[in-house]
Formats: sequence, structure tokens, C-alpha cells
Amino acid sequence: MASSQSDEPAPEEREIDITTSTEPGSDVLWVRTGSEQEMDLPSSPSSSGYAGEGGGSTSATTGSLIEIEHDEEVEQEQMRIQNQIDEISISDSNTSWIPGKRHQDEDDGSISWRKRKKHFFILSNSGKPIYSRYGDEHKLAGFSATLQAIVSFVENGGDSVKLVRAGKHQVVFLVKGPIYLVCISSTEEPYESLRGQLELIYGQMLVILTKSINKCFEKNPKFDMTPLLGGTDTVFSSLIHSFSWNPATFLHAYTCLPLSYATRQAAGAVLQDTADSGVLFATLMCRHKVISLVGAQKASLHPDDMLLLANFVMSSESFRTSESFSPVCLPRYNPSAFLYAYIHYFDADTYLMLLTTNSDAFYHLKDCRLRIETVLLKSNVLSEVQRSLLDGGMHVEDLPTIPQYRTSHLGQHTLPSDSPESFKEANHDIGGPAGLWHFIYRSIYLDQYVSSEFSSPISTRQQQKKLYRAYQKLFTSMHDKGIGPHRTQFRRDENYVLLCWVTQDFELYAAFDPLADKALAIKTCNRVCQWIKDVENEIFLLGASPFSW
Amino acid sequence: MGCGSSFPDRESGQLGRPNSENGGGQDAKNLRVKLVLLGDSGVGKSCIVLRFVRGQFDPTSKVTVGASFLSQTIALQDSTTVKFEIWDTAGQERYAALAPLYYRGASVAVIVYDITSPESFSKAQYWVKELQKHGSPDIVMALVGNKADLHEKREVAVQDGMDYSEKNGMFFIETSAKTADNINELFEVPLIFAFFSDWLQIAMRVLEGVCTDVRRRSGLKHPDPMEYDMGGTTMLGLDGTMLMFDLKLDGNWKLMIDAIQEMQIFLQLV
Ligand SMILES: Nc1nc2c(ncn2[C@@H]2O[C@H](COP(=O)(O)OP(=O)(O)OP(=O)(O)O)[C@@H](O)[C@H]2O)c(=O)[nH]1
Ligand SMILES: [Mg+2]
Repeated sequence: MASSQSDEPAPEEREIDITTSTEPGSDVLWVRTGSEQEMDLPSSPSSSGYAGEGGGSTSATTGSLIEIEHDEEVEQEQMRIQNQIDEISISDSNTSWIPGKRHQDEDDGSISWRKRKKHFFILSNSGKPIYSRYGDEHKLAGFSATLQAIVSFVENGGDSVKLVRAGKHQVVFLVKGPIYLVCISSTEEPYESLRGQLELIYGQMLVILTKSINKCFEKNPKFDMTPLLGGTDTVFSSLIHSFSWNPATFLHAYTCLPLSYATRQAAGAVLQDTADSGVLFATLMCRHKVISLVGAQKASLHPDDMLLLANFVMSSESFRTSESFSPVCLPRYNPSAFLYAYIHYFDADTYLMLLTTNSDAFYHLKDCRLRIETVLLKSNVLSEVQRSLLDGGMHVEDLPTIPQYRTSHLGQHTLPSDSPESFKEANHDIGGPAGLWHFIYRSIYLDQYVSSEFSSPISTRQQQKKLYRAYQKLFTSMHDKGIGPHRTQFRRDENYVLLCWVTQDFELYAAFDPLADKALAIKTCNRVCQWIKDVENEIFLLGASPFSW
Repeated sequence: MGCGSSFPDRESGQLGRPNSENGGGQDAKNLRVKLVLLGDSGVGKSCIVLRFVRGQFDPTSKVTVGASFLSQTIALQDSTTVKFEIWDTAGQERYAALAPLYYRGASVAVIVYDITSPESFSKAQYWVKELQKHGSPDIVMALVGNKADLHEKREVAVQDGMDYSEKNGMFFIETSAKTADNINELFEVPLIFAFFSDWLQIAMRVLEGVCTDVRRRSGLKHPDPMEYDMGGTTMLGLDGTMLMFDLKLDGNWKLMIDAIQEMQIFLQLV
């Protein structure tokens, strides 16, 4: 069955609609009470610019909104936030990404700050700023207070704020005990995605501090948390950056570096030895991709924890300088306690993480690493990793043409070594067969996904980001409980044909040329699935899966 | 308090006395010193260590997470090698509670502040107190005023650092990781004291007193020490052990080792 393309009307309205959970106090489940279009209604030309004015109720017209009582104070607060949001307008930044906090000098008074497309804030329930993506947290105290006022007003009424719409902007709230997380976005990403991003930001905070931070607020509601997050700006900024390039952030799955089965086995075996010696998790990673990973008996590592841990390690430059031993918390494993992580980089890309509950284990873990290193060198794992990095993973151009073709290998795409550029040039406008440009395959059983390499015409960072956003939207709609589970979806717009196929075992997301033939595209998707089966030994970590929640 | 309690890790070869890895050569000795750096974030702890271990200075800030472990082996003139095992801890506030994890078992604690930052000097004093309260009583402490190259921005007077360290029986030095000024000295000096404190502990138990200078600088405490005024490099007295050395002079290492050996023989005789 095919759903029509989603045409999101760019709303002209300036209302703020507050959608609240129907369950008082619930901060986990957002009950979607209507479609987005409905939420943007009505377009009453109210002068003050927020819903609820005059009648104190919007429920009559939309039916989907929880009523918010008319209150002068909240009106003023809403006016203030409205005014601030109004001035945030869309601007496109095309510059390549540099980690760390930029625009430190900005505050809510500066035009540039207001022009940012996507803001993230963390604040305490007393309105104290904790983190802001742009600008200096301390200078944003007034703005934080505004956000806090909105949250606490609605919370006092027994509901929690989930979403505020204001023209092009969505303001998404996530309340986690004494900590509020807020996203203000004009990116048109679905609410569920933005909320998922706030969940990850909260998770990242827990990685650094654990949930025990709540105790500080119990003791002192005005507690200033910013010093406790000192030096972690790059951790958050790189996570936020990954929302626009790393599909793991919405797929909740991890991805492996393509390697021959034997190579991955060799790495897995030596990691298993260390897990048997009292290490809770042993992970060998290449950038954000897994080479191998093992967990001690019964211990399982959630893909979101992997994502947050890898982001934490990769964005903290000091880990590259020398071997380190640091407390970390895995929020899905245990949000209240620290584990201890031994971290060592074998080269610029490949690093080992050994996690233990024992704070005295450093020297033991160091010994483990030496053993692991010896084995990795002897079995050429590290050089294979470097080769895989150069070769890349699955290229749509290499999709085997004959479905029965069973001997396919990842290595078959070998680029002409003299000039990879001309190779790309030659494939311009072509991509893979039947106009296949890109795909993501997620194995539900393995909690892993594989994504094809980007090739023309999806070659610029901006195009890649746009495609991820489209996938993200597709993913959200496929998992929308309100509409019911989709099995397949076919969307065509001016940018792509997007095809999604969900079964019990996998989810496939594929992007084609906008002119691609539907029947051919579906056939091609079948071939992709077959191809993945053929090379699953190389692209997935198979066998005793530690991911058995 | 004896040598056993001073260096509980000695059995596992952790510290500072010539161990038995003689490798055939008569003089070959391998010493190991566990050293921990503490101090506020941004004072330059990592830069100091990287200057010492790799001879580099990278002005871009890489805030430490948890703690980094580095080691460096230096060879002395008489083929003795000293292996430093260094914990470069994170100065960020959230890691303060974890510090014992890293300073436990260390024989030398280097507490660093930034001479342009009075706050970091206060933080250094906090660490000194923390170690006095919770650290091993025999840990050798050194107070370091870093970024000495920024003298035009200096806000902590040399005298303040000196006075404070004197009061607390610490070694004191100003360094610059940027220019490499005093970096090697920083690592040599506490090493000498760490190395010697072991011996002095023994000496104190057997003999009457120790040279005040050594005692004070090494942080060793002894009731009613006898004072000596000496000009030589090493000396053994009948009523005590006296050691004097000029740390800036080349070749002192040799003298120190000789002194230890002499003392060893002497103690055996006693
Ligand atoms: N001028 C000058 N700058 C220095 C010196 N040592 C360090 N710095 C600068 O101080 C900054 C912080 O140095 P780090 O070594 O990272 O500080 P740290 O004490 O390790 O900080 P944490 O890891 O957060 O505890 C760096 O940006 C260096 O450029 C020095 O001797 N002179
Ligand atoms: Mg550091």
C-alpha cells in the first residue's frame, strides 16, 4: 500500500498551540491527539499571537488540543517566548562542521542567535540555564526563565508541555525530573524525532553525570549545574551535529565496519577473553562503527548507549593523547551508577573501550589492552580496518545485477586506484541500477543497520543531511502508533522517490531518482535485500548477540 | 610508620627503590615512581606532562576526561633507569570526588596552579589539604606554579607559593610547559625525595635525625630534628644522615645514588 507524499504546509499562522499529554504527570508517552495539520489550526488572526487568547480555549476549534486555562501570567510568558521565537528565522549554514561551541558571544538579544535554525537548551526546573547550543548559557538566564515558566505553568495544572507550535517553529519540551530539555526548531523535523533527540541529549548528560545529579536539586532547587558540565560543550555539540548525519540517532541501532568474517572473528575472540576476565563490556570501534563487541554474561549494551558512549569518547580530544581511565554512565544499562572505562586509541580511528564496575581495575585493563593489541597486530585486524575505511562499505553501483548472483563481495567495487574522482564523475546522474541512490537496511533482530555509501547525486553534506531528514520522517511515519503499522510506503516528491519496507526481520529505506519507475524500484529493493543477505557475514556482527533486552 | 606502610605497593614493584631487575649489569637499577598531578582545570597539567614525556607543547586546549595515564623512562648517568608512571587527572569539578582513585598509591603528588590565576592557587591549597587529610602520610608533595612565561599577567607572587609550600613541607617550583622552563627539574626533584624518603624512613628509625633541609622539603616529619649546616654534597654523620645536593648541578644523580649505597652499607653496619 502506498501513502501519498507528505506535503507539509508551511504554516503561516503565528499561534502557539500547546499540546499536552492526556495523562497527568506522564513524561514518557506523548499521546498524539491529532495530526500536525490540525495542530496548526485555527488560523485565527489574533493580534497577540498565541492560542488561548480571548476565549481561553482552543479545544472548540481543533478538538485535538488540551485546554489551557486562561491566565494572565502565562499569557505574558507566552508573549515573551513568542516574541523571541518570532525573531528566530531560518538561515542556512553551509559551512563544514567544527566541533566545539561556536557563537559563544551570542545571547538572546543578538540577531544571529535568533536566526539559528535549531536551538537546544537544558535548564533546571527553577529556570537556571544548564546548556545552550548557541550562546553563553549564563547570558541566556532570562530566556531560560521564560521556558521554565511555561513548563511549570502547565505542570502545575497536572499536564506536561510537549510541543508548542509558533509559525515555522516547533518548541519541544522534555521534562526529566528537575531537568527540562527544550528544542526550538524550524527544520520541519517531526515532533517524535526532535523529542528523540532531546532524549539522547539527556542520555548524554547522564553519561557524564549519572542520574544522581537529581539529588543536588533535592538539596538545593537553585543548584547551578553548569560547573559540573565544564569542558563538555564539544560532547553535546558533536551529538547535536550527529542528528543530521548519523542514522543511528533515529534508528536506535548501531552499525559495523565492513570486515571479512575471519577478521571480525579474530577481534571478537580476543575481546571475549577479556570479558571472561571480569570486564563488563569490551568494544573495539572504528570511529562510530563497531568492529567487534562482547559483553560479560547477561550484560547487554543498548544501541543508544553505544551511540552516546562513542560520541563521548570521540568528541573528547584528550582520549587521543594517551590511554585513559574515566567514569562513564550507560543510561540504558544503569542510569544511577558509574562504570569505569579504559579507553585507548590504537590509531587515529580505531579505539578500544573496556568497561568495568571495578574502579581499581585500571592496571588489569591495561594488561588486557596489551594482550588485545598483540593479537590485533598479529592477525592484521588493524590494517584490515584501515583498508575497510578506504574501501568504504556498500556502494549502490555495485548492486549485483542478477538476483541469483550469490558470490558477491563487498570488495568487488574496487575503484580505479589512480583516480577515484573520475570514477565518481563517470557515474554522475546514474547512482545504482533503476535510479537507486541510497539505502539503509536495519536488522531488527540484530539491532544493527547498514547504510550504503553516499555517491552522486547525493554527494554534498547538505544533500546528505536532506536525505537523512527524509528518512527520519519516513521512519517516524512508519512507527506512528496512531496510524498503525505500515508495511510499505512509496513516496514521490521533487527530490526523490522514497521507498520503505518493514517486515518482522528488517526495515529497508531506499532513495531513488525522483523519476524512477515504481515497479522497478520495488524489484531493486528486493535485490538489495538479497545482496545484504549475501554479505551479511561482512557487514554485521553475527553470533552471540549481546543485545538481548 | 615504616617503610612498609610508606610504600605499600613496593612488593609489586611500584616504587622507588632499586629493585632486583639488575639484568646482569652491576649498576643497572630500575626504579619506578608513581606520580599524580592535581589542580584546577586549565592550569596546564596535561601540558606539563606532555612536555616532559613527549617534549611537545600543544597550545590548543584538550580538557582531560577522568584521568590520562602516561609513562616515561629516563636513564641516569650510571645506567639506572627511572620509570615514571604518571596520572594526569582532570581538573573539572565533577571529577574531584574521584581523585583518590588516582592519588592512592602514588608516591609523588604534583599540585599545579596557574600563576595568572589566584583561584587556581586557592584550588591548589584545597588539594594540599585534601592530601594531608586523605592521602598517604608519606606522599611527597610538590607545589607547582605553571605558566611562568606569562609573567606580565602574574597574579600569584613567587613568594606566596614559596611561603605556602614551606609551611606545608612541600617542594616548590615555577614552571612553563610552553617554554619547557623547569619541567625536567620538576620531575627530578620530587623523584629524589620520593626515592630518598624511603631511605630516610629507615634512617630515622635507626638513627637520631635527618638533615632539616631534606626533612622539610621532602615533607618528612621528625620530632626534634638536628640541624646541620653543610657545604658538601653528601655526608654521613654518626648521629644522623645528612644529605645535601644542588639539584641544578649535573652529575648529582650519581652522587645521590652513591649516597644511598653508602647509606645502605652504613645501615647494615648499624
Ligand atoms: N602560556 C602558557 N600557557 C600554558 C602553559 N601550560 C598550559 N598552557 C595553556 O593552558 C591551557 C590548558 O592546559 P591543559 O594542560 O590542558 O590544562 P589542564 O590542567 O590539563 O586542564 P584539565 O585537563 O581540564 O584539568 C592550554 O590551552 C595551554 O595552551 C604554559 O606554561 N604557558
Ligand atoms: Mg588536562
